[in-house]
Amino acid sequence: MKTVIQYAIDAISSGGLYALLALGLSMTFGISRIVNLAQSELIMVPAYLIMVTAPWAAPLVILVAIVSGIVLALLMERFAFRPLRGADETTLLVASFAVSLGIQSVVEAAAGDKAKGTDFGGGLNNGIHFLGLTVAKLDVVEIGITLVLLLSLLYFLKRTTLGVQLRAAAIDFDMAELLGVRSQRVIMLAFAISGVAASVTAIVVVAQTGSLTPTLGVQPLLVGVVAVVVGGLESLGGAVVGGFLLGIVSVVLSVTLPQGPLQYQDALLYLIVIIVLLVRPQGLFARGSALERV
Amino acid sequence: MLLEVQDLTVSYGPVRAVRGISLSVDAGEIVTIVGPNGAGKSSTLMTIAGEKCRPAKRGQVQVGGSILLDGERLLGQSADRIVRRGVSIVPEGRRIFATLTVGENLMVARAARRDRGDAEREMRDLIERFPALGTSLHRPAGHLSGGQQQQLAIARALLTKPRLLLLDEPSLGLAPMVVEEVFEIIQELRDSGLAILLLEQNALQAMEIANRSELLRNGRLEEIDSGRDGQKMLAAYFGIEAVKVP
Repeated sequence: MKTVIQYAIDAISSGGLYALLALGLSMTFGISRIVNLAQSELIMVPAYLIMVTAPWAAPLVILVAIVSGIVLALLMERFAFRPLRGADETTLLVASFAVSLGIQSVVEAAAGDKAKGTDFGGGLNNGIHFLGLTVAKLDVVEIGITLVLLLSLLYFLKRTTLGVQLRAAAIDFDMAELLGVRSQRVIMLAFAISGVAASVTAIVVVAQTGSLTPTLGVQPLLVGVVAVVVGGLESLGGAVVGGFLLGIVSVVLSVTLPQGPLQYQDALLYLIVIIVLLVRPQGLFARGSALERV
Repeated sequence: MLLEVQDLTVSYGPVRAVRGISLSVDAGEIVTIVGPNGAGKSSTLMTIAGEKCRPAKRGQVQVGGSILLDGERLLGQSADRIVRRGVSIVPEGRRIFATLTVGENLMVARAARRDRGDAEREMRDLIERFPALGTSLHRPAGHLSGGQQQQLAIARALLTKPRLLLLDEPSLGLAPMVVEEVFEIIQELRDSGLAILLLEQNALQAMEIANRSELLRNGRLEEIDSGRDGQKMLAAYFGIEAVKVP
């Protein structure tokens, strides 16, 4: 029983994080047709800032990380993607790759490509005991942050006028504009949200590993992209479910695989993803189109 | 005149879709533009709505001429600004947000409104006017029938509080009885003082309710006499045999 609960906690904590990343990616894609590969730098830059500000009080460190994620996302939108608005998706993809590499090189030049360490979140490694279980503090904090953020985002998207406008714009951007939705505001909002999602990922990754390299955002980005593709690139809800599914499948594989094949866990996970995409290339939860009705 | 279009041209690279058309629509009047597919009808309407001047279309679409609403220039303004000036569109194919609920579709249309209280009251009035929407407020809009989706598209456009309503093929894909209903709604809207620019392939039916009719072919407008001669000309043009003359 104990172990089942521990596995469930693992699945929720990693799934929640993937879901958050996937939501950020899917939102910028829905609004501006950009698969923003530079989202990995929205993780990496706040991570380095966490290292620099680590001696400060934790809430301040977290605030700096999130604000830096938002600012960087808005700068990307303003200077890299806005001038390219209307370009085809391949151009946008290449542009986001260029932005990603550019920022990586700058950080590499400034901080070096060697791994750096920080003890931010070091105090979270001891366990909390309840009901005879020992759960790592870090897990509790991680689940807390990701779930609170996910739930507030879902509340925002579902219940507020601006959130509903954002979802409408993700479905049919031009039509939303023809109904008076201010396009520039919605695009900036989507980027800001992706910045928040990425910086929260940075906080969790730094607290978990305590180690930083200029490419630290690439692995989480890859998982986010996979979650988004599984869920359906254009479905915000699908991205969230895709993220959680990936978290759950990944934990199930790590638990059920015998020692030998365990080292192929990631390969197996992506094999499952490939099979899903062969069966449903549009993703599991691709958006329904307006049905032709008479 | 509320809407005045002068020498409007729309080109897609070397292809000239609209070649210098002029038209006007006043409050409480329906003007219909009829014509075959590809004649430039939708391009005209979308240009008035601001869709062709979006930054994303820069370089792909060239627009010339002038469009004035109550003397104010519309051409070159963004689509969301044009909505705030009082122009709303029900586009071809309805383009409802299928995965959003009916209520959320209506909520999007309130984006352009500052008078939240009035918008709320108008939304209740619209739900009364279109009861099918009221009973489906929490259902995904994609689950509505075609006629109900058209009602939603019209209600959504009305919620932006337009002075000029642009309707692009509102009868397309609808059953004949539903088409009758949609045309009745359009007439009621005109009678309430709205200016309406109506595009229809269902030419004869559109001409019956319109105050003035224009035939758009090869990117140019020709006014159609609403009497027997005009209808004969139209019938000959479309190859329709039975002509219903009022």
